[in-house]
Amino acid sequence: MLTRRHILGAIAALPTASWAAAGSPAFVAAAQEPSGDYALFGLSAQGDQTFRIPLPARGHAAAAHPTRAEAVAFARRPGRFALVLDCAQGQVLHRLEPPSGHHFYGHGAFLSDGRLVTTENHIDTGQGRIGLWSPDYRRMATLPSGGIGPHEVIRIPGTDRLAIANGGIHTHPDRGREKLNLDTMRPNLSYMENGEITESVELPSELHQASIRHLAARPDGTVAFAMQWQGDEYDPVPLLGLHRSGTPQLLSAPEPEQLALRGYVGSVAFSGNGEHVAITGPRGGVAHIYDVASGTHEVIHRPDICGTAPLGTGLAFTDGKGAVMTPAGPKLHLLRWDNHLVPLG
Amino acid sequence: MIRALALILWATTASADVETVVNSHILPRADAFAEATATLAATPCEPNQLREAFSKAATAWAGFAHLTMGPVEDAGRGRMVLFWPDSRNATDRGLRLVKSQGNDAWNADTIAKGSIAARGLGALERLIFEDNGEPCALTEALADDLAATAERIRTGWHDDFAPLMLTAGEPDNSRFFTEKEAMGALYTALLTGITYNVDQRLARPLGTFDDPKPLRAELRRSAQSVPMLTASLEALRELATTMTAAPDTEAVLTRVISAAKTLDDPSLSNLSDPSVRFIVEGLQSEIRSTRGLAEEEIGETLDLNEGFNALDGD
Repeated sequence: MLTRRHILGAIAALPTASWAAAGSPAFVAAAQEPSGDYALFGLSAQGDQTFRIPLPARGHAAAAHPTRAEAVAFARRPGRFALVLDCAQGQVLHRLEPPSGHHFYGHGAFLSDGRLVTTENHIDTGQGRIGLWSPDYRRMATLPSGGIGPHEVIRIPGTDRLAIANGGIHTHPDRGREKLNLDTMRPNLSYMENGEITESVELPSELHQASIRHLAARPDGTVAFAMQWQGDEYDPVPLLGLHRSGTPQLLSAPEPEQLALRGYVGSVAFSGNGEHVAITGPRGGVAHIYDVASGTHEVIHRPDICGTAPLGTGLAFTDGKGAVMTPAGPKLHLLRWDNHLVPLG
Repeated sequence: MIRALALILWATTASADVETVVNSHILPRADAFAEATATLAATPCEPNQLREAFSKAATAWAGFAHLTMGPVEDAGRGRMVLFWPDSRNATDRGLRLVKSQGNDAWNADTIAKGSIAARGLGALERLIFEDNGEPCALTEALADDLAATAERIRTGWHDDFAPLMLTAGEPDNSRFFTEKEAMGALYTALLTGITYNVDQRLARPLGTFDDPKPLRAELRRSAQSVPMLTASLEALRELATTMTAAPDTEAVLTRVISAAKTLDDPSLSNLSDPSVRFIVEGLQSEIRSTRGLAEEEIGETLDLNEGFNALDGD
C-alpha cells in the first residue's frame, strides 16, 4: 500500500518541467501526418503547433497533467498500452499497460494531485473498470466503473469527483470492435468519489441504445454527455444531455438538423464561459452549439469535424482535414486531427 | 470587371474540376428538380396527369438527392422533400392530422409550418396514388410547398453555394479552406450516395431472407422504388465520370442500371420471391462494389479521402 509520503517522494524524483517548457500549449491533440505516421501535438490558443512527439500508432485521446508538461496518450480501443509523454523533452517517460485480463477503453483523466484514472474493460466479465495510477504512474487500484464499456472519464473541475460514461456496449478484444449486446445494452452516466460509485444515471428505456460515450463538465458540476445512437440512423433521437442532479435534460435540434448528425457525436465541450455546449458530428460534418440557458442552437458545417474544447470564453474545434478553428480564425495544418482536442488546465 | 476576370482566371487554373462538376452536374440537376416540381404544382387535379408529373418530380429528386451539402442540408430540406425512411409511419399520421384540419389549413404557408413528415413527395404520393389527388386543395397546397422548397434549393445553389465552392481557398471563404476541400465534398457526396442506395434504398425493403420488408420500399405506392434507384445511379455515374476518368466504376454502374431497368417489379413488392430477391441482392452487392472502385479510381487519383474521424467509430 502506498502512503502519502511515498507518493510525495515519488513526485519529487520525477522531472518537473511545467507546460511553459513545452511552449505553453492551450491544447494537446493527436493527428496523422502525411507520411501516415501519428504524433501528439501541442497547440497554442491561435492554433499553431508548440510541440510534436511521434506516436507508434493511431491515438484516440490524451490526458494532460494539471501542472507538469506531461500527457498520457491512449491508443484506440481495445488499447493495450498508453504512453506517458514528456512534452517538454519530447520523450516517452512511461509505457502504461493495464493488468492482465484488461484493456484500455480510450480515455483517462488526472486527479488534482496528479494521480491518473483510466477507463478499462475487464475482458472475462465484460464489466467496466477504472484503473487508478499513482502520480509516478504505478498501478494502485482497479475499481468498478458502474457499468459496461466505459469510454470517457473526466474530473469535475475544482473537485476530485469523476464522471464516467459507461457506454453500455460489450466488446471483446477477440472480436475486435464488434458490439455484442446491442439489444440489451443499458448505458449510464456514473459518478465516482474516493473510489466509490456514488450515483448512476440512466436514460429512459426507449433510449437504451444511445451509448453515452463522451463527457464535459462545468465548474458548477453540470456534466454534458454525448451519445452515439445504435438504433436506426433515421430515428431523430437526442444525442446530448446535461446532468447536475435528478433527471438529465436532453437537448435536440429540430428533426432534419438532428438527423444531419447521423446518430453519431464524436466530442462534447462546454465553452470557456460555460454558456454554450458544443457537440461534433464527424459523419454529418456538422457541429451543434447550444445555448445552455435557452436551449437554442447554431450549426457549424465542416467535413469530419470532431475535436472540440473550451478556449477563452468560447470554443475551439479541429477536423480531419487539418483545420484548427479558434475565434482568431482557422489555421490549416497538413495533418488529420484525431477525434479529440484536449484542453490544458 | 477585374474582380470577375480574376475569379475566372483563378477558377480555370486551380479549380476547373469543381467548376465543371458544378456547372455540368449540379446546377442542371437543381434546375431540373425545380422545374419538375413547378410542373407538378401547375398540374390540374386530374389523377393521370398528377401521376405522371409526380413520377417525374420524384426521379428528378433521386437524381439530385446525393448532393446533400449546402442548400439541401442547410435547413434540413432533404427530409422536407422526401420523408423517407419513415419506420414509424409519421407521414400517415401527419397527413391524417392535416386532412382533419380542413380547408383552412390547406395552403402552402400552413403546410410549411407543419410536420415535415406530412410534406413533400411522401405525402403527395399518398394523396395522388391512393386518393386520386383528393382533396384537390390539399394536393395543390402540398405541391406548391414542394415547388417552393425546390426553388429555394435551386436559388441557394445558383446564388450562394456554387459561388462558395468556386471560391474555395479564398480568404473570406469560411466553408472551404482549400480547393481540395470543395472536391472532397463532391467525393463524399459520391460515396455517401452509393452507400445510401445500398444501405437504405435497397437494404430496407430487402430486410432479411426470412423477413423481407417490401412495404418499406421507397415510394412503392407510385411504383417509383426502382426508378428512384436507377435515377440515383445514373446521377452518381455522371458525378463520378465528371470528377475524373473512372472506367471501372462507370462500367459497373452502367451494368447495374440496365439490369435494374429490366427488373419487372418497380415497387420491389416481390422480394419474398427468392428469384427476385436473388437479383436484387445481386444488384445491391454490385452497387456496394462501386464504392471500392470509386475509392481507387477517384479517391486515389485525386488524393481525396473520406472522413478520418467519421469512419473511426469511437
